[in-house]
Amino acid sequence: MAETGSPEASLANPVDVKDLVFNYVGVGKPVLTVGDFHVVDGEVALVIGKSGGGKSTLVNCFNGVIPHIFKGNDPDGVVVYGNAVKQTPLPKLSTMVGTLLQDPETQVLNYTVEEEIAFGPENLMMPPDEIQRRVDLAIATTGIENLRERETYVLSGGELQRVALAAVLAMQPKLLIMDEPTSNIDPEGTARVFQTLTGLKGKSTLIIVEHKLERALHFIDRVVLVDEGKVVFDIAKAKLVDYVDELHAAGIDVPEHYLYAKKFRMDPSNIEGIRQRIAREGLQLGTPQRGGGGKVIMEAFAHVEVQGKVLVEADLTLREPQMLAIMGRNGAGKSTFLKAVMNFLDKELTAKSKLMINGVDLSKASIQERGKHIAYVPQSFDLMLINKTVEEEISYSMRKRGVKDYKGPTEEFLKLFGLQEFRRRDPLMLSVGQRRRVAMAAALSSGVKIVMMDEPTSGQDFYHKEIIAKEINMLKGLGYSFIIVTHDAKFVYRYADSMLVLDGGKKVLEGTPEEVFASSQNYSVIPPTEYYLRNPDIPIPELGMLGV
Amino acid sequence: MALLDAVWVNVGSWFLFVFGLVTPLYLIFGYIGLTGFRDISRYEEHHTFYYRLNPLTKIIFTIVLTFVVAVTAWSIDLVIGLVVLSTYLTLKRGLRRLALGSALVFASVIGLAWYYATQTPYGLLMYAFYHICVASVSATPQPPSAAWMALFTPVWQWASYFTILGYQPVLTTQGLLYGMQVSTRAGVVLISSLILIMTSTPSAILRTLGRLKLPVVLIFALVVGMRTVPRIFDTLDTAVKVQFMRGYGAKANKVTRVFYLFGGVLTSIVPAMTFLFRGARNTAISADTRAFRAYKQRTFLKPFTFSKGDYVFFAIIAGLVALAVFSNLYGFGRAIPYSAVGSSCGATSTA
Repeated sequence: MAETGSPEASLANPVDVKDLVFNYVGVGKPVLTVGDFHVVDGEVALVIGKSGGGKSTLVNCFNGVIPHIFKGNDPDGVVVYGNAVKQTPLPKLSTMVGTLLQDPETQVLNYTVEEEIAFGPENLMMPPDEIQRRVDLAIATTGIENLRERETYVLSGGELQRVALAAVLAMQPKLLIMDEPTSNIDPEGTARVFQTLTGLKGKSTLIIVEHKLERALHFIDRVVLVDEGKVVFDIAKAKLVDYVDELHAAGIDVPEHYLYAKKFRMDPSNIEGIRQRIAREGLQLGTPQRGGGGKVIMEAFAHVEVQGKVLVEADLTLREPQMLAIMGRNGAGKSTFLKAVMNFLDKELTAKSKLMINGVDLSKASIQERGKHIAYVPQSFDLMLINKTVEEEISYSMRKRGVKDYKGPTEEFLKLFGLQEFRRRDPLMLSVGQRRRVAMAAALSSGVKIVMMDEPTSGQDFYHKEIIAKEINMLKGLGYSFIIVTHDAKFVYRYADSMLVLDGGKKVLEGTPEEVFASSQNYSVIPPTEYYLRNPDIPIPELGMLGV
Repeated sequence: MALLDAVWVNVGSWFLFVFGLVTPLYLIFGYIGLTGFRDISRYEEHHTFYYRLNPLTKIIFTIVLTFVVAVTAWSIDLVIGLVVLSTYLTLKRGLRRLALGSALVFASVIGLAWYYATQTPYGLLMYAFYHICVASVSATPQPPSAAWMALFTPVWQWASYFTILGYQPVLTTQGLLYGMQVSTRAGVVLISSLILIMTSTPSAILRTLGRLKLPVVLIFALVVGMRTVPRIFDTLDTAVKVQFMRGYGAKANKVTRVFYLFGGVLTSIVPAMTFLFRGARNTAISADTRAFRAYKQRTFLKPFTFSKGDYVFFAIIAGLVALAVFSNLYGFGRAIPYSAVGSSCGATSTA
């Protein structure tokens, strides 16, 4: 085996895989089976696939997380820059392979940005001058000079993810692996991360695992579809348009313009051309159905300030049955607004709020009292699951409110969410999708008709987003209304009845998605491609900035 | 008359019992709350005196202070504690942190003092206050004997069944003083430890402990712990509020709400920890894929230096040592000889 730095190693591919079979400890069946797979120097490969299909397992075999952190059958057959991963210590691998993960909150360890970026070089026992040089270079590459002296815990998700990227780049890896690097951040942050990655093209070899196919397409060279632990196809980007059916079959959300590019035999990156062709051909693209024109069931206003500085001053009106989306960049005040409505705010914040639900004034009501009318499902919905069985979880709210006959409604919710077979199971031991359904059922069982959801689609793949949308539509049919805080413009365009945009704590836009998206770019809310295809008068932003 | 006495003793005993239990709980859950704990357990950037000090200076300060309060009388500990606590005003959001720190220290002092005041055996108090050592519990004078009355000043006679809870039959002035002695020591250590946490970044502490040649893994565990603690309080806060929204504590009023908050925290621990442990996996990957543990030691971007402020603080530390010496010389030294507990007691008995 060639040593790093030796002529053999420098000639070796970033990744060579031959007959890889991997299964985790305690799992008999292999979760990953790959015959031949290679990544050559300088290329940008996009790995796509459903959640749980094996994408992360594949890249974890390259960076040494498997088998050095996650134990399994010690897979042979993975060689990185001439080094067999199984035999190479993780610290040595980390000088060749950098890894950026999905959630910036949990991967950033230090309190200040500079310290975070210096962490890796310090571990390598580098002299202070060299550490400083690498820190400066990483900061310049990622464009975060303005963040250098900041504390990491006050940064937005997008800023934090760029800090995490800089910390990885300070290791000066030749191969950079990014595992869903933009799943948890806003469109502006996503665009900036991809902007940095575009700048790295040609200088480093990049492997990107990403749900946001549309976002990455403009700068990748190659697309690898992984499903059920196998590489389904591995093609050059130019050929992707011919594999649209395979992508659909694998549950991948294919950008709509790809379908027309295939139909018209056009370059999929020429969205303007495709749009004009659609118009010339006289094709009528279906538009999402918007409902929610019923009676007003909720009116809310919140004014929140801290030490004289106004954080939020906004209002909303919700109709029955409606899905209202709240969008805006990180720090726009979306979550603070929601917290003010629910009376969740910290004591140090001064808040004045007005809340009317079905004509009842709840402005002075406690959290418990508000909870009789509104349910809240947090982004980390696991925090709701405090009971030992699914059945107890769903009946919890009724029992706490002294409802005597709670067994009947509990059965109804078990049935509605398809949870009967799991009724005696511990909610925390279920799959992600099942846990989310339990959380939703538990929230609704308190008898509310209004549900607030914080980032329900964050980190979810297309398949799971569709399930969430179906559930919401089904519940709207039963008279429920939803307020959803999200960065997911495509989800909003497809399923929301109305939306509002917050900026600097103020409501700046309100209306249907069609009305709001016409000018929402000014507030970092960028519409999805399908909106542009249906609205020929709206200028299309540069590639890589489209909302996904 | 006897009936009135019995009612008085029972009502009074339960009132005092509830006071000792509820006051700390109320301060912790009712006043400080989970967001308060988050605010008092994390670093926020600022530029005043403490923030400019080397973390090693603050560690030495905390260690020296621990020894000083261990060998001085509680009244001196109390003064030291109040002085150090008042310096919280120089911290970022000083007033809030002073209020939170005071509440936390007051809660621990009340809780600990109450426990020791009511439950410390008379035999131990005899040795602590009079250096009288008795060989066995059965030989210890009990109230209302003349021998006991000669040594102790009764404050309150508990209802007889309180001994089941481990209470001594009578609450004494000596018991209260002993409780204050123990609790003020703990309080002062808490105050100084929080200064270290609130004014030093984990990386700065890592740098300091690294210079002291502590194992990297141990230091890293401490640093990740410091980073995680505020997050734990944040997560618990969300989990508890979601429970409230789902009807938990629906019948609570302003007084009982604090108990529901306590119950909510207990039931939220499992989901909150599960959530955080899932994140811990990422933390491990993030560290290990950046060459963590590549070597037994690390180098550091920032130099390890002492400023003028550190030397000033060393002078203050020296002053504290002097204070401890003089306090002992003038009869304000520690009153509790711990050798009284255990078999050595018999060997040194003067009784």
